[in-house]
Amino acid sequence: MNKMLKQLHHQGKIWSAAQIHKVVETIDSGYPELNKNLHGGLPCQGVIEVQTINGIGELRLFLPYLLNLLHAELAQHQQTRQLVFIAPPAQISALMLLQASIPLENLLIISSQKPEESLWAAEQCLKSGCCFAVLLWQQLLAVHQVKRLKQAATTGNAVQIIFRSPHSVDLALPVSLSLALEAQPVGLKVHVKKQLGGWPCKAFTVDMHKQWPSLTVTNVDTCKNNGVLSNVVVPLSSRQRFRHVVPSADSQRSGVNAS
Amino acid sequence: MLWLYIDFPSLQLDCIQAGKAKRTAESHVDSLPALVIVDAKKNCIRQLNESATEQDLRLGMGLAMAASLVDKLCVLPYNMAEEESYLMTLAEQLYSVTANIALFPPHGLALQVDDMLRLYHHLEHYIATIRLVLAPFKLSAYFACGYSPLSAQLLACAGISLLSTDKSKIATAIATLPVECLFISNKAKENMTRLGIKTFAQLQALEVAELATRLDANTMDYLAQLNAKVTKSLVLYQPKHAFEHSVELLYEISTINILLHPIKQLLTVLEAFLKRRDYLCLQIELRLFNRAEGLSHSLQQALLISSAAGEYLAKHWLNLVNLKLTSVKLLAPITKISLSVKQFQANTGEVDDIFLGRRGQLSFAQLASLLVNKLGDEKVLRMQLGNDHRAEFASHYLPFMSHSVISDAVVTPKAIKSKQLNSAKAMYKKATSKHAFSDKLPLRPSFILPEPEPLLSNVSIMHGPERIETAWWEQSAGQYRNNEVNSTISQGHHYQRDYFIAKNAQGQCCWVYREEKNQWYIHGYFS
Repeated sequence: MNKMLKQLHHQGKIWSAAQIHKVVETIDSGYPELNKNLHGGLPCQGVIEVQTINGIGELRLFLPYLLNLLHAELAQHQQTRQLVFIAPPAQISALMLLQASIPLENLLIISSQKPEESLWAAEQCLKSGCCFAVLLWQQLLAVHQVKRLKQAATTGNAVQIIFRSPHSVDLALPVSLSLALEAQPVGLKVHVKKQLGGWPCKAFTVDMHKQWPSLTVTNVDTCKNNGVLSNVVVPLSSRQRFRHVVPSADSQRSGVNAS
Repeated sequence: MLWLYIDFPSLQLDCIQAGKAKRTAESHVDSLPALVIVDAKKNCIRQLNESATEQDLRLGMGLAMAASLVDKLCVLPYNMAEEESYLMTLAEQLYSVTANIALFPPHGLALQVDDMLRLYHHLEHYIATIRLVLAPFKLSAYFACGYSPLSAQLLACAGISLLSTDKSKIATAIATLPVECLFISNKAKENMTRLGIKTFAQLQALEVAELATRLDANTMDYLAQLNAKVTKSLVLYQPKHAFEHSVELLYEISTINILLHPIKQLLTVLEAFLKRRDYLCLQIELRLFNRAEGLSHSLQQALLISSAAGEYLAKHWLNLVNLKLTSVKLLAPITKISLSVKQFQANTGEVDDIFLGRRGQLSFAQLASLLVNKLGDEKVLRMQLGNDHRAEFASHYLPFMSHSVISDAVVTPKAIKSKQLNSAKAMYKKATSKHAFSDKLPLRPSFILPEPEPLLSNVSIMHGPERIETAWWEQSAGQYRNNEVNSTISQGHHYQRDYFIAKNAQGQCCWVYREEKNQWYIHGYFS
């Protein structure tokens, strides 16, 4: 019996709790807080689900990670695979990607409108083996669809990141990692809902001030600016919304209350 | 010189039936209807199938008589052009085993044998090879040898299969033929019968000089060529550079799944064509024809199917065609399909990592062609920097196919290789010298809205302002630029905007701007 156990252990068919860090191969996410809570970083392979509203920094959370993946590929094979964006909510700006040092030659954008087309494209890209990451904006996901994506990601050694709006119909999707993001003045509040080879942990804050000083505030700033209304923009009143094309000179203006 | 003439008396019929037999292989052969091909000009049957012969139909019968003999008669018009195109297909296939092929349209081929005997040693081997090539077409054919192409033709067209290198054997076989078999004008034949010449042997017995006074020059010319005294100038088959094939469907097809079968047949022919030449092709054109008023085949639609990587395998092309057809709606049942390829590329092989191999199943170009064919050209995009400081012009999308592939495809393989190396090196350098120039770029939102939206909620400003104004040299050219470069953005007019980075109540980082008249808009999101 003991001999058999040993043999099985040798073949790597038995998983022991001590090996927890080896279950998922991870790579530095670029944010120390994230690395700490996710056993060293984000997974190199598999499906990552992100529940977030658009425009709070969800892409910025993954940009250093994608860049790290890219560098790891370059160091290994002297050539890189593609990064694919499928059905982004608006036009993606090339300047933003260049700022994050992601080369445009390695970028493919698929602007499909139908969810089934997006899923099909994602699966094809993943399993082709010539894309290292596929970013997909998709609301509805079924268990079997995620399983297929996961299978495809394993085949092509790629990672699939799916952005969904928060509180989506919460089935137990077979994803490798599930994160829920919330906006914070300093960056993002990350809530790990599920991770492969680990436990869901308490929500923590990721500080993005170092990478993106203009988009975030430091903790000190928050305290100082709290309650100060100096930079609040009052939007157009609802009556004006419909007349904003031809405003009269004396109409009630909206604007910055100069401090 | 020894020639082998192959006559296909029912070429059009056989080709149509071969296509059908493949599809209905399981069903009984004897259930085939009587099929006749009628020459519309002479109103007589030119070709007929076995079941038609069984029902007492004969060649040369009038259509009315045939119709009165058989109640379920399938009639097709004789089409010489079609038959000639079938003949070209045969010549193309035969070209792989024999060198000189003289075309005798509409349904005959003459092959020069004696050169080929050096390769094949025996006539039987040579004939067996040729029969092997012709076997898949299931044609009825007469083979005959002769020491001039015309004598071989004479024998084959008379329905005599004679395979021999023996001169005397051939001569006696020809001698017994009646003069009606000769390919000469009716007037000349009449002249001969008046002279009492009935067989070819009688004709041979006469002196040439004597005959010349009675017969016209054309006939004398023909006879000289027949006896190999004068060599006939022949049209020899030259392999074509472009590929063009078509399949005529026996019945109308309106289901795409069924349509794939004849397409597969065409693609297999293409594969053989490409493989023989060691070529790849990047684009194929599939034309679908349907029945229209007066015409049995009128073009319904032409589909261009492109592959980013050169392909020759029928399997890959079929996959792409299948994807393309899913987005195609057939307007009417299809009666004919044609496939044409105009440009080819030398097969250079792909450079893969010897140690890692190919990880996935496809190369990037293959993946891109999959996506483009399924989703459409306008949905698979690359990104490019624009030379403008305004955010909406600073980056734009370009269709993938027009952007990279076509230009890459033209470049020679060596250049591609060096380019790949260079770009890899450059990229590595660029990536390692991190943030060298990226820091100098202005901060721009990741998502740019196609049209700025009016700001409708409270936001708090975090950063700004940054004034962006249309450049003076653009103010006049704005309209022009719009049409030429980026037609998707319709905001070409002059503007002056003060941009701010602001956060709204949900914590979204917005890129808002104020126009001169103090109106606020959202232009993008930093995500």
